[in-house]
Amino acid sequence: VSAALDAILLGHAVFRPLLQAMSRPGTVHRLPAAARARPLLALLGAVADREVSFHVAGADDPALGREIAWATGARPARLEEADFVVFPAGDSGGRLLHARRGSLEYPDGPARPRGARCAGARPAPGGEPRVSPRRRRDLRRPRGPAGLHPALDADRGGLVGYVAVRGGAEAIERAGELFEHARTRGDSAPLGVDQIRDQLFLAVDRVMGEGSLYAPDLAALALKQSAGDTLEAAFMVRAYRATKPRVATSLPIDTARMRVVRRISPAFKEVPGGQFLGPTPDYTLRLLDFDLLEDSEARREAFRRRLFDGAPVPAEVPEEFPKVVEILRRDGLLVGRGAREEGTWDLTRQPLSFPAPRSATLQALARGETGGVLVLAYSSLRGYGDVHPIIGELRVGHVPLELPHPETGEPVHAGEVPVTEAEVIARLSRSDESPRFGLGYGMCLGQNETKAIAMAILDRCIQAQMPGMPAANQEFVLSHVDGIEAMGFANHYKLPHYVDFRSDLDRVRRAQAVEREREAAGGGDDGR
Amino acid sequence: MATGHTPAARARELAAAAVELDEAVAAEALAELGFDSLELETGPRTGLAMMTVRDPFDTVFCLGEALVTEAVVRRGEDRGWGVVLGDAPRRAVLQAALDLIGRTGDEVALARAAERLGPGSARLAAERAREAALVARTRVQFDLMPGK
Repeated sequence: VSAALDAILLGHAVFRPLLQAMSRPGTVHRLPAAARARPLLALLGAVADREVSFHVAGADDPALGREIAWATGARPARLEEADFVVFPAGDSGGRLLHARRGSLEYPDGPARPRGARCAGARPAPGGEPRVSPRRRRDLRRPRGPAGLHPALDADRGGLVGYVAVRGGAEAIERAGELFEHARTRGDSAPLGVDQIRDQLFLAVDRVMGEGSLYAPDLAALALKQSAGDTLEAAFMVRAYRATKPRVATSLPIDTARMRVVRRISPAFKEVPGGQFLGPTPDYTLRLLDFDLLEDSEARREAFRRRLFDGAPVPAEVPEEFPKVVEILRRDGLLVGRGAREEGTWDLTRQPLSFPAPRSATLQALARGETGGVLVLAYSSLRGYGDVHPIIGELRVGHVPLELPHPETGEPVHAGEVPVTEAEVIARLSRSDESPRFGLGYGMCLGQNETKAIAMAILDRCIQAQMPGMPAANQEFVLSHVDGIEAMGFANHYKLPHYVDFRSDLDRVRRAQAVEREREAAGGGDDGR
Repeated sequence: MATGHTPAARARELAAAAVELDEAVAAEALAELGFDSLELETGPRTGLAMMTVRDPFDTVFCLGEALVTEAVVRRGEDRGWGVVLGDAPRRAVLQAALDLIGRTGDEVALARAAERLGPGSARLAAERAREAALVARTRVQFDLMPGK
């Protein structure tokens, strides 16, 4: 057991310098000592898993391929098809040109080359080792058609180098330090990750939902590191998940088995099983509670005593609740289930394409940014659409995560995951023989009722046969709800654009010159 | 506690309760139950489990992934598999060990595990019951709410 724990910690330790190397272009970072004996395997272990393929190019000895397959679970593939290509000699000898490459539509499609030596790496005098200028030029040299990213991981001496842009490395590093200083310069005590996880749990839930990874400790850490920026935090969480192998896919979760902590049905005065407000600040005034300025353990203890002691024990909460929409469906008032979709789309494996199947739609919305999902749904409610929903049922609770046993296929309980689920009833649907209500579905990780409701509204909107408004247009909605993509696009304008702008300047100056010449010639505005 | 009709069913019940233990308790249980001597075949290693959900239209979709820890233990030709939420290597090994003794029908080991893990499971059940009681106190009938 101890040896295995060491291996886990080593995997984490290897990934850190790999990330550092990728985020600090032009610098070289040393792998932990324990990884230096087999650095290539250590690096591949951090990025490859059983769902990707690899190819060892130019190796006479098949042992390396077998070792990689054993250590990572990745499967061997032909050079033209592999996700990762390994060049044990450090030079592809031109074979890199035959590796898979991306396209303008999917620029992330190319294979990732993994070299096996880094001849240009040398220690910088008195500082961090850096890639030599000659080697950097070599790395930046185009090696094939567009989309084939030059990159290099070294396998000699445990060094990692990666070059994506050049210039400004020193300033970028100092700017990062200044941000760290801004986060830590106050007189307050350092914020514990456990404090964020426990006391800012709604923010943690939001980050997990948008990061599409249930990992409360990591989401809390990301919030701390990003100084509370939920978009940045979700970005970090997604980056982390990209480093982990997928070990299983759960059995489909049946939310009828949810351990409910909150359940309301605004569509009805009362529903079978009852309505429970649960933990919520809804129905209260949004006034600042200045008592929290005096928060202390003694105050909390007194609150807990008041909460738990001496309270009469009311009737128990049922272990399972019937679904309200199923009651409507039994009475023939709700649309049917429709034809079952073959297969399940997974956006982490397959890029979105349109028209998207329902499974892709729901996944895209579930990992969407709360504000983005809300704004688009709101547009429909405000009149730029015709879906005005009634919430059939809103649930918050814990669902069991069950994974199939690899040998027997029987469900294995791995724990409970908190989720929010919303089902909205909206508009008559005439797709069946008789008029029935339509149904929209929303579900997300953690407690995020705004997002679940907005998701359900959008789901109902984009079921429209003839979308007339933006919120009913599947492609429009799904192309714009991902917060990390949206943030990345908006923020990339902060990067140098002087080449583009110089071109724009030239065009404006030429246009002005033409205008001046026309005016000088007495032409003026001819109205065209 | 562990009322299943077969050893495998009883082991599954124990394992389901064990996923809620904290790592320190799981480490103690591993040592006390003699599981520490089992051979580790895989892991424990962290990875991802994709959570799939069935919606009201019978569509199965990917909700998102969860960080899990996976372990496979071996004793001779017999193997046991464990997977738990979070970065929890000891709990994963404990679950794998319980899977192994359940599948091999090791009644002695099962009885010891039930004795060792039973109190923790009872505490968890009591805590859940207390939470449920708090939720029960928020039951509402909207037509009776003030102002309606």
